[in-house]
Order: sequence, then structure tokens, then C-alpha cells
Amino acid sequence: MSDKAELALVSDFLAECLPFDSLDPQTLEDVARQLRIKYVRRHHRFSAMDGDGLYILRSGVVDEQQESGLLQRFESGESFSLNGHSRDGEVTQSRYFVAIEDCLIYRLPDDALRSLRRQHRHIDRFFHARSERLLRRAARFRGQPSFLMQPVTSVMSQQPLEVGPETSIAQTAQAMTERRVSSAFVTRDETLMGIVTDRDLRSRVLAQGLSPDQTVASIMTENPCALASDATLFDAVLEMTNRGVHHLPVLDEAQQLLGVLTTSDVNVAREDDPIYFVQRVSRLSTLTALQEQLARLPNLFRQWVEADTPVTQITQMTTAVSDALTRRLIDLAEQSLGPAPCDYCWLGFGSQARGEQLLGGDQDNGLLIDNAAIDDDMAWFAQLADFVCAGLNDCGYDYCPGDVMAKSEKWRKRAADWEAMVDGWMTSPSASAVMHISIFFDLRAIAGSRSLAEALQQHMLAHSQRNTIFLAALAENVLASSPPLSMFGRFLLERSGEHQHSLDLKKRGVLPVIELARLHSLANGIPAVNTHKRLQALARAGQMSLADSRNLEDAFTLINGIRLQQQAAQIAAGDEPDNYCDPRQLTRLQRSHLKQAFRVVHQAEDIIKLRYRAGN
Amino acid sequence: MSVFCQALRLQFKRYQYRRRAARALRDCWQLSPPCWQSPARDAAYLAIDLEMTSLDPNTGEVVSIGWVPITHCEIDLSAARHHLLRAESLVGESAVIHQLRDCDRVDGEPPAEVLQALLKAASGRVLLFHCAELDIAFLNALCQTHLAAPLLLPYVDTLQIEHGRRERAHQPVRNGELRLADCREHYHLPAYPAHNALSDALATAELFLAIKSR
Repeated sequence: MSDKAELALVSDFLAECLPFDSLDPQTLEDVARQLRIKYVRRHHRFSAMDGDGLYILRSGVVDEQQESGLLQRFESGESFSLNGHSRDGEVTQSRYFVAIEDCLIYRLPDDALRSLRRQHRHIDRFFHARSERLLRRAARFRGQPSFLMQPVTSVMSQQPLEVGPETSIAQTAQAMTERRVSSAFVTRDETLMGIVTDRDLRSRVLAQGLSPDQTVASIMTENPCALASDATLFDAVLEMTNRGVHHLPVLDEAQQLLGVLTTSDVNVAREDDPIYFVQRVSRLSTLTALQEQLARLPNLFRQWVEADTPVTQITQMTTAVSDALTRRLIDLAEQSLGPAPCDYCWLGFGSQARGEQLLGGDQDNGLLIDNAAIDDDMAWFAQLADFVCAGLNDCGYDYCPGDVMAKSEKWRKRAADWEAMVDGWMTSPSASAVMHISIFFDLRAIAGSRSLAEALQQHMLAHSQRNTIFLAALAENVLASSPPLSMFGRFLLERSGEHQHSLDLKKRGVLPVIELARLHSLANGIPAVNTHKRLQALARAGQMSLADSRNLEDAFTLINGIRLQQQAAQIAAGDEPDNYCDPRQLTRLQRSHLKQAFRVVHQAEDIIKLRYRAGN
Repeated sequence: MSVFCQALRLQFKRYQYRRRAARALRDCWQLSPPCWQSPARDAAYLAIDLEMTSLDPNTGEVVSIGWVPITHCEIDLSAARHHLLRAESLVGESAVIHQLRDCDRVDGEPPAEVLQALLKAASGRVLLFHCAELDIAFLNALCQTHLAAPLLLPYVDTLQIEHGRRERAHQPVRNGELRLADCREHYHLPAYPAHNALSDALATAELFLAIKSR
């Protein structure tokens, strides 16, 4: 007798792996039945010789490498195949795989994989799309220097803590705490004698019950291994792993201490990681360095898109980068201008405020200044705004053509003046006022006093909620930028101009959703700014059905996803990323998804016609 | 027991039983790999696990058998099998451990048929157990009843291998430290739910590959 879910152990695991997650339990069991299992020991290097088919990592970590460095890393649940990905069947010899940890690997032999791909089209598509992606990735990485090849001097912390050999352990510990460092260097006449780390204080002092009055020389590690100033990060990592140390002093030719390199410095040097990218932005101290760093963003963005990072995460990360840059520029400005004369808040508008930034966007920002500011103070803020806006422009966030920027006097005001301006817009909603409001109502505090921004937002919400004339004007505006679908469900393309015969995915695709969500939020006093959060809040407040809210969220994610892929492709081709796409270039699936998404938006707009439009 | 002694003992016993043993068993002996030395590097194995109603082969019964072959250093899941055996008595307390109920065992297969399938799967292979002693005792009893002779096939035991390895490395082995799950953890293998004959056989097979990779 054979039990149906005999290999549940294996098929349950497969059910959590792409692309098998979409298969039904019976098919999963059949796939499990065709697997072979291998064990690969740590450090073992393997290549196409070791067996055909798809390798699914059950446990452990595998790196795909070629001479120029790491191509990608696979973890439990991810899969790869050993033979090359080029379509003409030629095996790429230079690539190989290394087990970084002990690995248990499921192998689905080629013939089984082929028959699975024949039977399930979406699985076939998954591997097809992936092989092209991997090919592109392999092409892109060739020859590009690894982050490990940069000199240690560019990443190390300068001015390490130095103490004399006669300093007491207690004093050393105090100095380390004050400087917030985890290591101290014992030097005599600027010559390095030894090193003391946090760990030494624990294991050699506390654990041994040693008196803190002893000299630091009695517990230091003498003649620690050190790096020369021309060493690379690669040398450093090798030294750290070989010797099991976390701190490495860097010495110049004369054996004098230049700086110290810690494991966290090495991590920060990893450029492909968004967290480290943001951290690095907030550490750089010159405009040129910031400019260089931001120039790497498009390629990083492309990696995220190609790695199938969820759309909302990508827009969140690009927004985090522009936030960090803005804050850093403000810090630098304050360093040269002196401290601010009174409280203020740097406001981000539009996509930055909503946390939905992509590439190639303009800057939209403003300055909200405390009512306490006297006229003389305003000059300081003008200088701040000029510096920050110019810095943003230099780093790729172009000046706003509509002049919605803190450097323009209109968008740099005291709180009371802001409120008066907003009130004016709402009582006489002219076309330009509506446009301004649609920018301005999506606002977020980027730097400075958050409470100022919150007060302004409260003021706006309180006034807009019951103002039917204003809401009607806004609804008119939403309907004007309707998605480009004809009555027969065909795409309506731009009729003229540079982008003739293409779809403007931003203006005709995502903006309608953003505006819909904003209109409903304003009408219902919902303070959220992010479009997803607005839609969710609307559903929670009962102002939109859960299905409508989810559908709009999906449509929004989908259109943005296609926008992201377009931009990534443009970057890959060396073009400036924009928001236009030629529907003929889309896959059949993308086209039908896009139409579906547009339809959802159309339906949602019908509700607006009924609810807000005057005399309809 | 050295490989040579095990082989000598097997040959002698097989000789003793050469007339009594059922044909299927004698065929299996014929195909069994030469056992005078340690198995070749890419020898074929069959990892086996049994679940029983008690720890005493005289009173207990085999509830289920799971097996999975290793060929060319790869586990082949297409030949993994799990068989429930029809009860000759009631399951008793251990049913709680193995999550098998009496009604499952009524649906089970006749032990003689399962034994035939096992012999077929085992032919030409070295058997593989974790803690072989008990499983072998039960298999011998089962064979004795249905095939008129003990199993008498060469086997290796991951528990013994790991024990020997640690002793050679001068790592003291505490009692009960070499349970399947603990050994697997040592080799960074994922944790599996225990006490299903097939998943334990699979767990043993993976452990064996891990040990051999050292």
C-alpha cells in the first residue's frame, strides 16, 4: 500500500519554493518523487559536471561566482542550474558554484524538469524569464570591480582611539565609551604596541576578576596583525576570517597608525544593499561624494527590479535614499550656515511624501517655518533652501519645472502664511489652485520639527472635509486624467509629441489611482499619505468596499511594476528612465494585466462622478 | 565488529540456511555486493527504517517499513517506499508514538508481500540503518517467520560510523547523544519530524551522505 502524501516532508517544502508554490498537492508529490538528493560540504566547489537539472537548495547557502567575483547568492528555497543559461545551449565555462555552508540539495533531473515545463506554462515562463534575467545579470557583472577591491583606506574609520601603555584599564574603558568605539590602540611615540577590544575587557578583565586599576598594557594583544595602507578590502576580510578578529589597525609605511577597520565598516562598504546605501549617504561629507554615490542609484535600482523585489519595497527604498540625501544636505548646510534661528520643518511633497518615488522624478519640496521667525531670520532659510535644492539638483533630482521648491519664496513660509494660502486655494479653487493642492496635500516631514508639519496637515484636513465646492473641483481634476482605454478596451496612445504612440504610465496610469485615493482621503479626513495606506484606511473606515480597495491597490502595484520594469530596461540600455511605454513592447500577459488594471480605475472613477461631482 | 568478521559471519550463516531459506531470500544473497571489504565509494545503499510496537523482537511487531535507495552518492526519491504492515496483534501503546491507529493496521499489507518488495529493493545494495541492531533483529524475526531464515545481508550503521569517528577524534560521546536528530544537527541538516518510517529512512540516508562527504 502506498500512502498518498508519503513524501510530505519534501513536497511541503517544495510548496514554499518558487515556482512550485503554484502547483497542486498531487503534482507536488509527483515532482517530489522525481527528485534526487545530494549533500554538498562547505567550501566544496562544483560545476556543470556534477549533474544536470535544477538544483533546489533545501538547506545551506551557495554562491555563484566567476573570476570577476560573486554573481549571486542562493539560500534555502532558491534554485539554480549548473549548466549555462545562454540560449544557444553553450555552457558558460567561467561560472562555478561554491557551497558557503553545508548544503542539502534537491536535484530535479533535466528530463523531469522539461516535462514539468511542458505541462505547466507558468512554470515554463518562470524559467524562461529567469534565464534571460540571469544572462543579462551575468553580462552586466563582467569586468565590474567588486566592492572587495577597493582600498581599506577608503572605508576605515580614521582617528582611532589611542592610549598610552600606562593608562589604566578603567580609563581606557571610559575613553572607549565616550568615543563610542569598540577598540583602543596602545601606542608609544606613535608606534603601535597593541590593541584592546570590547571582548578583551570582558574575557581578560571581568571574567578573570582583574582590577581595573591595572595598566592597559597588561591586557592588550601585543603586536596585533595589521594591514598596510595599500591593502584592499579583500585582504582585510581574508585576514579577519583567517584570524577570527573583528578589528584591524591600518598602518602607513612608517608603521604609524592611520586608522582602524572593523567588520561593520566592511559591511557598510557593500554597495548593493539598500540599508548600507542609505547609511553611506548619511555619512558622506562633500557634495561631490554624494553626487558619486547617487550616480550608483540607477544600477542598484535595476538590480532590485531584476531581483523581483516587490514594487512597494523598491519605491520605499528609493524614497529612503532621497530622504537620506535631503537630510544630509540639510546637515551640511547647517554646518556652514550655523544653527537655525528657530524651529522649522523641511517638507517633501508628491511622490517623496507618499513614499512612492521612482527614478527620474523632479524635486517637490517646501519649508515650513515657525511663526516665531522674524523677517531677518528668513534670510537664513533662503540660504538653506538654495543650498539643499541645488544639491538635490546636482544629485539627479532635477529642479521642479513648476517651481514647487523651498528655494522659491512661495513655498518657503511661516506656518500662519501657509495656512492662509491653503485657505485661499480652498475658497476659490482655480485650476492652478487645484494643481497646487494635489501636490501640497501629499506632504511629509523630511527633516526638522515634525509637529509643525502635523499641525499644518490637521488644518488642511479640517477645512477640506466639508468643503463641497473644493471637493467637486478636485473630482473634476481626477476625472480629467482618466486611464487611456477606449470604449472597446483598446489602449489610447499619446497622439502627438515626442512620445507619440506610447502610453504615459505615470500620468495616465498611477496618477489616477493616487488622485482617487487622495480625494477620498481628503473627503473623509484620513491623514495617511501613502496611496496603499490611504486605500487601506478607506476600507477600514467603511468609505470604500474592501474589494474595491484591494482591487485599486493591486492595479496600482501592477502599473507601478510595469513602470519599474520599463525603467530598469531603459537604464540597462543606457537611456534616461522615463514613464512612457510602447504597449507593443509589452508581453501579452502584461498587456492584459494592464488593461485589467485600467478597468479597475475606470470603475472607481464612476463612483467619484456620483459622489463628488456637482450637478451630475 | 570489523567488516571482515561481519562478512565471515554472514557467509557462514548463509551456508547454514542454504537449504531452508526461501528462494527470494537466496536470490537476494546471490546479488548482494561482495562484503569482504568496506563498500566501494559509490556503492549502492538502501536506507531502511522500521516502526515497531515494542522494543522486544520476541513480543513486538513491525508496524511500518520505509526505505529509500542511494545510488552514485545521490538519494533517489523515485524509489522511496513506505509500507504499513497488517497487524498480527493489536498496536498497543506505541501507536501513540507512531500516530498509527489499529484501523490503519487493518488496511495494512500482508508482511510477507512487504518483505518480497523489500528484498527486491535491497538486491545488490548494502543496507543502511541508524542504530541497526534493533531494526535488524526485527527484520530477522520477520524473515524467519515468512522466509525460513534470517535476513543475512550486509549493512552499515550511521550511529556506529559516527561513534567511531568521534572516538578517533577523541571526542567523548555521552549516552543518547548520537540520536538521529542530534547527528543530523551536527552536520547542519534540517530538522525533520521523527517517527515515520520513511522520513526516518530519508533522514538516515541524508546523514549518511553528510558523513561520507567528510
